[in-house]
Order: sequence, then C-alpha cells, then structure tokens
Amino acid sequence: MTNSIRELEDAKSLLVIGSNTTEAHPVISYYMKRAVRKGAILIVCDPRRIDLVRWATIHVQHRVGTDVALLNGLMNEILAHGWEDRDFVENHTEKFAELKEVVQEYPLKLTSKITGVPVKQLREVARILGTRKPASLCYTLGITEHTCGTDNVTSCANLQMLLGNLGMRSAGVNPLRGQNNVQGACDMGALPNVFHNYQPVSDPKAREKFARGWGVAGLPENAGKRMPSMFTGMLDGTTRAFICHGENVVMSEPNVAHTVKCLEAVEFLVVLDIFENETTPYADVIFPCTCWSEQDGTFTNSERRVQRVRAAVHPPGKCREPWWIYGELARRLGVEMGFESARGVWEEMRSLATGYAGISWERIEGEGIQWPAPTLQHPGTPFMHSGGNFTRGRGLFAPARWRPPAEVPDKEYPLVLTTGRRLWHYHTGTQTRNCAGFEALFGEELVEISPHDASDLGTRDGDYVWVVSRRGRVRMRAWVTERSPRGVVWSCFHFREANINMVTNNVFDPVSETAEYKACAVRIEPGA
Amino acid sequence: MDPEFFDRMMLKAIGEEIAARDFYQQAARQMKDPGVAEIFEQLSREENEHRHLLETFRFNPLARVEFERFQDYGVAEQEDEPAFSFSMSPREALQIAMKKEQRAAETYRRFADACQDSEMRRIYSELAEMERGHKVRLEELFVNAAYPECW
Repeated sequence: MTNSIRELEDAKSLLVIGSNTTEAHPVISYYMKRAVRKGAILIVCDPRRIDLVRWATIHVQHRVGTDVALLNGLMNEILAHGWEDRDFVENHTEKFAELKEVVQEYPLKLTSKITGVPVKQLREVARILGTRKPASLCYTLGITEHTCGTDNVTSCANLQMLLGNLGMRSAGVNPLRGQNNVQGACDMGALPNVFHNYQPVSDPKAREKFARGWGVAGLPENAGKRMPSMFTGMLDGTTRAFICHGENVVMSEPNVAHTVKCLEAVEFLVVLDIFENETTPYADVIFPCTCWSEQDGTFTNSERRVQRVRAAVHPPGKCREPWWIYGELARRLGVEMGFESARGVWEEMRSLATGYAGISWERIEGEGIQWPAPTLQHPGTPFMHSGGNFTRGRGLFAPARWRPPAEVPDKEYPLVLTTGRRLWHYHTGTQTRNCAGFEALFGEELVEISPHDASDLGTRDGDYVWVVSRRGRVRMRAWVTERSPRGVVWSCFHFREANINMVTNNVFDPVSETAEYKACAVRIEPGA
Repeated sequence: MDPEFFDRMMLKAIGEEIAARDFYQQAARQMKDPGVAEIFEQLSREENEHRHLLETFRFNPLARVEFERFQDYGVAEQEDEPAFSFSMSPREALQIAMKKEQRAAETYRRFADACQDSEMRRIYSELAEMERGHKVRLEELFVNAAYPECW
C-alpha cells in the first residue's frame, strides 16, 4: 500500500475495485466504513453484490474482466471535463499523451457496452473521483487474478496519477495483500527476479552485495521461474526438485488435474507444512513446521508495517521453525547460514535491505514500524512517494487496451465462473478446516447462482449441482442469491470436498504469471 | 569578528555553492535518464538560490541569519556514495547529492568547532545548519523515491 490503513478513513472518496474487503480484509473494511461515517463517498466496483456494497454510495456492477475498459472510460470522462490534476501530470508523470490517446478510445457509450455499466453511472463516478480529493483506491485479487492483471494494475495507477492522488495522506494505490505476511515475503525476495527490498538479481552491484553478505559466490544473474513455469517445468524435466512451503498447491493452483499431473511427474518434492493436506501425499519428504503461534519472527502487513511475532506455545512433536529447517538444508548442501534464531535471520535481512535497516528488534518491541525506515532514528514512512517522487523519477503512465478473459461463455459453457474467499475460512483450509468453530459457522462449500439463472436451470436453493468446465467438474450445493448477477456463478477453494479449482482455467498474465482465477466459462448440471 | 576574514569565508562558501550549481547543471546535461537530469536541474536551481542567500548575507554581515533546524535521521551518513556515471538511476543521483550536502555540513561544522571567535563560530554553525537542511531535504526525497514497492 502506498498509504497506511488508518489513512483510509480520512479519504474524501474511496474507490474499491476487485476487493471483497469485508470478507477478505475485515479489519481494513472497518476503516472504509469509518470513512463513510465521516462523509466519504464509497464507490465499490464489483460484478457481485458483495457485503461492502451496503456501505457504498455507488455500486458499479461491471462485467467480470472489464476493469481496464471501466477505468479507461472513467479517465476519458475525467479528461473531457478537465478534472485531471494538471500540475501533478505536468510535473510528476510522463507519457501523458500516450495515455490520453488510448483512453480516448473509450467513450462512455462504448465503455457502457463493454462493461454493462449505465452511462449515467459512469459519468457520476467520474465526477466524484474528479472532484473529491484525496481519494484512495484499494484493490485485491479481483484486479490481479486475470490474464490482463498487469494491465488492470497499471490502469489503477494511471487513474490515480491522472487525479494526482499519490504521494499524500489518504490518497494512493493500495493493493490489499492476501495473507498476513505476503508483503514481507515479497520484501525479502520471495520473488524470482529480486533480492531483498526489490534489488534486481540482474544488477551486478546487487549481486555483489548479496554474495558478500551471504558469503557465497556465483549468484545467478537471470531471474528464476514463477509458479506456472515451475509447474510446467515438472512435465518437461526442467524442474526436477520442488520445495513447497505452506502452500497446499493441489488445492490452490488452478486446474487441479494439471497440478496433480505435474506433482506426479516431478523427481523430488519436499513439503513444509503444519498438517498433512492434499499436497503431502505427493511429497518425498515432509518437514513438519511450526505455525504462527509457535514461532518468533516478524510479519510485514499490507501497509508495510513490520510487526514482531512471538511464540505463545511450544510446538508439538518434532515440528521445527522454518528458519532452522532451511539452515540445516543449507548446511548439508555446504553453506552455513550462520544464524541461531529468528532474530539472527532478521539481523541479516536488515543488513541487506536498507529500507528495513532502521527497524531493529528493540524498536518493534511494542508497535510496528512501516518501511522505508533506513536508519535507527528514522520514524518510518506512513505514506510513500511524498511530493510525487517516484523510484524511477517521474511516474510512468502505462496505458492499456481492454481485452476479454482467455475463456468467455459460449453455448456449451454459458456462464462466467469467478472465484474468491469467504470470511470464515482461510485459503485451502489447512488451518481453518481443522477448527471446529469455523466448520460450525460455514461447513460446506456452495456455488452462488443468481435467482434468474437458477430459475432458468430449474435449480433450487440447496440443490446439489455440478459445476462443469473444459478442465473438470465439481459437485456442490447451490446457493441461490442476488449476490451473483445474472450469468455469473461464484465459489471458493477452501473445501477439499468441493474445490472450485477443479474447473478454473490455468492461463496466466504474461508478465506476473498470475492465474486467471477470476474468469472462466462453465455450465451448471443437476448434481443429484 | 575580523571583517576581512568574514568576507573571505563568505566568498569561499559562495564559491562552493557556485561549484555545486555548475556540477549539477553539467550533470543534468549529460544524464541519459531524463528523470535523473530533472533531479540535477532542480538541485542546480537550488544551489543557485543558496548562492544568492549567501551573497545577501555577505553584504549584510550584522544580520542575525538563522537557518531552520530539521530533524536529521542520518540517512546520508548510512548510504554509500555510488560512482558518478551518465547512466545513473534517480536513486544514485540522490545518493550523490545528499552525500555532497553531508560533506558540506561536516566541513562547516569542523570550521565552527575550530573557531575561537564566538561570532565566527556562530556563522559557521549556521552555515553547517544550512547545509544540513539541504541534506535532510534530499534525504526525504531519497526515502520517498529509493524504495520501490512491488504490487
């Protein structure tokens, strides 16, 4: 997030797009609701009638996979009325002419035709965004989990730069992270192309720094593989060994049949997890790991705040902390990691990631600190890019043209399936499915179908149905609900008994290689 | 205070600002990255403003000039200084600039500490504060620009 979570409540307007915030990020949604109570206008853009819509002034119910067209249309209208922040555009951005040229291809009538959003509503949203600053934009996986995910993200950034909604309190681009420490994992180089603090592996100076810091030689100069390439590599032999840590990939990857085929093919699979799950049967070695309440360390949340985590209970049996497991693996491979505790790991990380350098263990004993905090005196950074200063100098407009999802409905598969998360369960259920309380609250996966579609199909609420795609089929009960618009069905991947990833499409954004979990074509068949 | 010594001191300080202005101006012309060129152009303009400020001070030595005190987080002190090159990034450009200001502040501070004359010590201390203010401003720019967030 370029902003802090608490800053959301002081925004004059909030644009939430592709984020079921109350279910996936309930704490953050609290600040959105506070903003509304303080007079902010909340605009929720989501094909589904999600819970947050109850607090929204406007619900933009655009079609699945039309975000780029929607955002371009809004920018076109903003420019037509001169609502852009000319000073910001002039002094802090570049390639405005290119952006203008592209968004002009999206007049409101065409935007309406693509997105299904009435022209009148598009006009009203553009007016609000153009006249009520500061405005925060929040997005989640509804933006990124598309084959055009990168275009969706750059379009969000384009809109906010056009409006000068960056580099100030309560105005920014805020991706709400999907897990408690996904920000920290990325910050520490759990990506194939960067070291800590996003220092590129392709940069010889960065490689030299890390080789020195780690006491090793010959760090690779090319980026590694992302998940989809790792998996296809299992089939063609270019991925021979795979370590799978805290990620139940059989449940979480799109197209379960493909994932299983890959895992069966890989020569050597190591799984680190807290329980046996759907992936562990394919493992050659399983390392039982400590869970969050059994280990020391830090989590870095969505707002870049580094927080201390402390072991509250002793781990059961032979469970070990992940840093110990990796240290022992490295030692057997001939490298001494040299740390004896989570704190040792932390000290090494902050010595190599200067944005973290000022975040000492002692300083976060009480409250966390938001990076960048490059020195011990530095108080941390609540919002980034103050004064419109960006890493590359000026902010770069990266205009994008709309293109439909990889798979769209047809006669055989007439419905759009989009997927997400539920409030009561977490990810593949490795934790929450082992919790009787959550099972009591929500113990069975359902597919949400609109009353119109249910009526057309002759499906009643609670009936078993098959959700069928070109990749597979899954049986679950129908939940007939107005949350789904006509033509759209929705479900989750929390339940092994009814995992929607049996049918999702393993196609990916060409840049990020994120899968298109949010759009594929399906049909519903009676499931009795 | 010896007026001749004061004048020599001020001329030296003004000379430093002119040299810095020229350095940034020349660097701006040679940079491959337009964003970096822009940073150097802005720094060049600022050094010119500092020069005018010192010239005013030189011709009015009795003025009690006091520069604003900023919270100094010591970012420049912690950063390495990259080698100057025409293909440097905005981050490296700011690193070079803030290290330059750090050195200037340290130089004036040393002069102040070495002075016997209390008025001269005060003036050198103020010049050190002026440079420290520039350093802090550049550090703010650096912190805001140097750490990318990956979405």
